Amino acid sequence: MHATLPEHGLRGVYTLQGLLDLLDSEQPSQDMVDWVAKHFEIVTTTENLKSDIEKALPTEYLDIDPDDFQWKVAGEAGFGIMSTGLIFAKTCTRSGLHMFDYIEYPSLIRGGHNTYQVTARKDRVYAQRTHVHVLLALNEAAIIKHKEELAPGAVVLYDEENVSIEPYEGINFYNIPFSKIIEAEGLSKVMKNNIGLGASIAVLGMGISTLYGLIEEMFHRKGPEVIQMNQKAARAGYNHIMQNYRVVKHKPQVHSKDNIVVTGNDAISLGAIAAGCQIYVAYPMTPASAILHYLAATQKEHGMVIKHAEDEISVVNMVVGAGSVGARAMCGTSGGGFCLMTEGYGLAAMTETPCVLVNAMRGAPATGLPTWTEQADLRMALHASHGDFPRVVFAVSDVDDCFDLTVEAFNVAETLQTPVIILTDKYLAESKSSTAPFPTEVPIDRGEFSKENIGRYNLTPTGVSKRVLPGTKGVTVRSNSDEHDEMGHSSEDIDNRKIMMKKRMDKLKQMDVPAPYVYGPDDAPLTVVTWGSTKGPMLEAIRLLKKEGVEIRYTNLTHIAPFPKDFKAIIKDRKTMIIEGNQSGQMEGYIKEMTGMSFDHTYRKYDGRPFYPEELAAKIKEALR
Amino acid sequence: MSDDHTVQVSGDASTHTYDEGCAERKLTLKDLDAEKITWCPGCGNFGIFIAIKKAILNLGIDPSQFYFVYGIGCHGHMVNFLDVNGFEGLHGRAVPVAVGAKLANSRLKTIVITGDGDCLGEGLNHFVTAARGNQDITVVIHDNQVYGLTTGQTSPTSDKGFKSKSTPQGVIERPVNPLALALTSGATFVSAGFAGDIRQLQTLFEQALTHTGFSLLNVYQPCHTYNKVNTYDWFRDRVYKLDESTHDSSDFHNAVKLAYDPEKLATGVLFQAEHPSYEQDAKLTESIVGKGPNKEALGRLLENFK
Ligand SMILES: Cc1ncc(C[n+]2csc(CCOP(=O)(O)OP(=O)(O)O)c2C)c(N)n1
Ligand SMILES: [Mg+2]
Repeated sequence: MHATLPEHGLRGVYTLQGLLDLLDSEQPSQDMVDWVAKHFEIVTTTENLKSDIEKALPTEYLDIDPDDFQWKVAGEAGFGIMSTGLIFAKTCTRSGLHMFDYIEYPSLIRGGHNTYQVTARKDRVYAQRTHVHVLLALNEAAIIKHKEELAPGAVVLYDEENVSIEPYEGINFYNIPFSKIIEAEGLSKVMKNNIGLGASIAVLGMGISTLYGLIEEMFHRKGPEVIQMNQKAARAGYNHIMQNYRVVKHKPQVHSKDNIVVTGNDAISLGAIAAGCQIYVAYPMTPASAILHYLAATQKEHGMVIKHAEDEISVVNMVVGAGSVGARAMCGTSGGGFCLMTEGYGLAAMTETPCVLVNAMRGAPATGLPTWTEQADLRMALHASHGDFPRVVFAVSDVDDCFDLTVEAFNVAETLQTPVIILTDKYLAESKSSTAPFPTEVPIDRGEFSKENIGRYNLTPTGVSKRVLPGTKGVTVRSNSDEHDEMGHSSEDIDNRKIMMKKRMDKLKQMDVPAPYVYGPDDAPLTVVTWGSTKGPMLEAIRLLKKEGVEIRYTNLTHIAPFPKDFKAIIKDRKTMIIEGNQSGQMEGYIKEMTGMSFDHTYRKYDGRPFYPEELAAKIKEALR
Repeated sequence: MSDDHTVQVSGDASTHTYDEGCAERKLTLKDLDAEKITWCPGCGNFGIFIAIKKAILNLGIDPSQFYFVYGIGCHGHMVNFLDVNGFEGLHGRAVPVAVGAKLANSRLKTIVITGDGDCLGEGLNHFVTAARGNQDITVVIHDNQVYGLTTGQTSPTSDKGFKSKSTPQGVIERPVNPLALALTSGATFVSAGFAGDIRQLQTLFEQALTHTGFSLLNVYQPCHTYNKVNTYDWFRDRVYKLDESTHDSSDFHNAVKLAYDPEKLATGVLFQAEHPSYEQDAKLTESIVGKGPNKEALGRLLENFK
């Protein structure tokens, strides 16, 4: 197809198509003419450069849209699939695409099947899709397992040598002789994935220089030699495709380049930093561990105190201790750890200690499905711990929410002096999406303080006491897990009990609960309700339905408790459907409890896998029938 | 905090004012009293309570600089009797509350008032871990070898054979040894006292408080009501004071030996070692409570996600 592809590009350009693109903004020059002569054996002049390149370009292209595709790498755990996926994801965003990624991995370190899929598009992507357009299969199992996902005309990048299956009809099987390339180029075996990355980039029309840049960042600690070798590997994969196979017709259009790529866990961590969280305490548990890892790794930058405590009981009590002397404190865990935290959670409420508790849900109960997703801790979050106390529960829906609601959680916790729960799940916690960079300046409200000796639980019309902090001279600050009076002394007095219970419960009235946003036209025949991370697949499902001319109304709950007052009104008199990620319909029951309303249709999933847009679109169409 | 009663979040450190050194007003023991005491007459808690108050006055540190974290049990009721900053937590969980408070404001002198059941039963893991971490807190165990508040069940320090409501035939398990446990867990200050000797208790409490790192004061405490075995007389027959002029408190193995003495109960500082506290290693010398967000750092961190 081409002559030799140049090892060194011309101002970041390596291909004829790339040079053609460059000619959109630059005049043809002699160095361009020399370059095409040297590397592509095209003898031309500056006048004829453009038309001669056009003539030399291939005429047959892949039927894959470089502005809307899904790429997947799959293979055995322990072979760098996660870092390979991340480099590819960032190559997409730096090429100007939006992306969303979704990873699957078993709860073990070596062996087992890992996947990393990236959905890229010219506008915001909210969820992974069912159909894969380019599959980088690192072993035979990767092809067999994902056969059904391959879109017609998809490309499978594989090594013929290690695979015994016959190519599937309608699918482009592109052979990459990994070991031969490694030998020929003098590379090391660990660079195999970079060959695959180079090949993927070539197939999808993205620029090799973007990939070069990412490899450089990734290996900058290992020195220039390692960087060069890895870039060479990428280049070899890229050349192999360009010289032997059809690729997409054009490179992706540049839509926005300044996006960040973050997981839900990253976004919660960044939200905590922005909110001025002063201490984070945790005990490792998937899928919340990455918050601990990130905040600990970046501690020198943000200066937060990070503590890996002995268990989750200790975690929550440390957070309460820190909160009780006035620190902004947060902890994170998954359902099992949250179970251990429940008594301490109630302690925070009784002592009116501000703190934020993150629960990243996974398949449950018990150890459950450690690395898979579920939305089955809702009832636990709503009812955790014994007794009546004000309950504030948020469920984040996307990475922006993870950032914003973490900031809001701190403000609510401190202004109401009560614990706030943030529910997230494995799907959102560990999936990356591209989004606009988060603000570094966020609203911070720490509530009202006093230096008078007015007692920790001084009564006010709102139920929110002025906070006095230990260390203030002439003031005794007494917090008490027993029922107590204004000064914090234990009290079993009848009137006091009623006053204090009312005081705590009244605080919730100070909270502004926004009405959930409603998508879709008002006259659509069906209103669909979801909560938390199901918003992503739902927004994608709505896109799919729209293409088929199907319109629905849709709303997603993020502020779970206190429950939005006007919820019933926004549902309107339509047929209703609720979709959630648990077996028993926890949100459905809760909404019924809050509003009395029943749903006409339900769809529940609890197999550990996230919702797919195609799946939801199909269920919604069924409901509309 | 500024005068309009909001915490300044823009500044680097808390604008809280601290007055260490002697309180300007002359405090008396009575000034440290809050509510009327409800312990049984003759309870060992009285002796511990008085010793603690005396130590506070004698140390000359303003009472506002102390933070007492209480467990749940008769001991924990002290939260209502002592007019000094306090936090009464959950049964067994006083230690982590204290650790968290100290991490957040390392200028507060943080003390755990706990019981044998609270600290060595329900909360044992925290005790061991805090000792291991050399967290800069003082733990006072009111060791009455029984669950007082829940009306007399066996406790982790009850002697084998102790008959109680939960073990009418006599407890089968052998007791945990709080001193040996603290020593082997890495505590850097391990001491024992007797509720019947207020003067010595006061000194021990002062020493424990001035020690940097994890300090334990285990107090042999008679429970008049629910422990008819380990009475004042029983203790008086067994306790003796370590001779400060001959006892080498840096000798770890000797301290372990003393802790395991089957006949006698040594009181005094069994062991003390100099070792950086968790807070020192973590470079926490100030309060972090008023620290605002680091916007520049956030800006830099966001760049890495591009
Ligand atoms: C989680 C929990 N379990 C049990 C109790 C009941 N409880 C209260 S105090 C106590 C035992 C107290 O014994 P100890 O710590 O020795 O204190 P003492 O009363 O002897 O001072 C128990 C079991 C509780 N409050 N919380
Ligand atoms: Mg006891």
